[in-house]
Amino acid sequence: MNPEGCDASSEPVVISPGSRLIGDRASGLKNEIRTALLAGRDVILDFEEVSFVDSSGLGALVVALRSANQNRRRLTLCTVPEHVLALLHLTRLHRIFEIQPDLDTARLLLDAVR
Amino acid sequence: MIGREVRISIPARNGCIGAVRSFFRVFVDNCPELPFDGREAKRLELALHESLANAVRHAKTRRPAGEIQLEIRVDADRLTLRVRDEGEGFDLNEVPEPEPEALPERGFGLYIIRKTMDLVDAERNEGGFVLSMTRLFEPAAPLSGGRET
Repeated sequence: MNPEGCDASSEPVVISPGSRLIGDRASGLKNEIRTALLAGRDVILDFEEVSFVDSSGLGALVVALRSANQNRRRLTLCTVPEHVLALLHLTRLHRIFEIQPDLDTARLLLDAVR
Repeated sequence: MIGREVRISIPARNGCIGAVRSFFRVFVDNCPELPFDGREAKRLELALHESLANAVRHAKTRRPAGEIQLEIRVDADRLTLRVRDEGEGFDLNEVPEPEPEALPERGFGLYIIRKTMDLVDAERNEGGFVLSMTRLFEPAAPLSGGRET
C-alpha cells in the first residue's frame, strides 16, 4: 500500500506503443496488454510517441479491447496524435475505443469508476 | 513528372517497406504536380504501406519470396501506384469490410486502401499479382463505400 492509502496494484498500467505501431511491435503490444489485463489491471495506452500506425497496429488494439472486455477491465487510449485519430475515424474504430486527450484525464476517469 | 513513371524493386521483406515509404514521402513532397497536402500525403503513404505489407505477406507463401515491384505514375489528373508481387494474390471481393463492433482483428489494410484511393483493382497474370491504386486529383462522384475526403 502506498502512503496515500491506495493499493498500487490496482493502479492502471500505462503502456507506450512505441513510435511505430506496426508488425512485430503490434504482436509484442498484444502480449504486454494481455499480461496486464490477466493481472487484473486496467490499461492506458499512451500514444504520445506514436508517429505511425498500420492495420497490424489497429488489429492489435482491437484484440486488446477484446481481452479487456473478456477480463472485465478497461482499456483507454490517450494523447492520440491527430493523424492517428484521423485513422481511427477513417476505420470507424473511434466508436469502440475510449479515447482521452491526455494521461492525467485517463487516470482521473479510471479512478472515478473504481 | 507528368506522364512519367518511377519503378522500384525491393526484396519481399517487411524490413524494406520503411525505405520505400521514406522515398514516397520525399517524392510527394518534391513533385509539384501532386496537389496533396500533408494530411493527404500521410494517408497515401499509409495506403502504400498497406499494399506493400500485403504483398510481403502473400509473397511469403512462395519459396523464395522473391521481389516486389512498385510503380509510381503521375498523370495530369491522377497518381497511380501499382504493387506487384510473386504470390498467389487474392480476390478483392472476398475481403469483407471490417465492422468495428464485431471487434475484427483483420481486414483494415484493404479497407484503408479503398477509403484512400479512388480506384482499386487487382489482377493476376503470369508476372504475378498486381494491385493497382489510383488517386484522382479531383474527387470522383461519391460512391457508397468509396474514398473518404
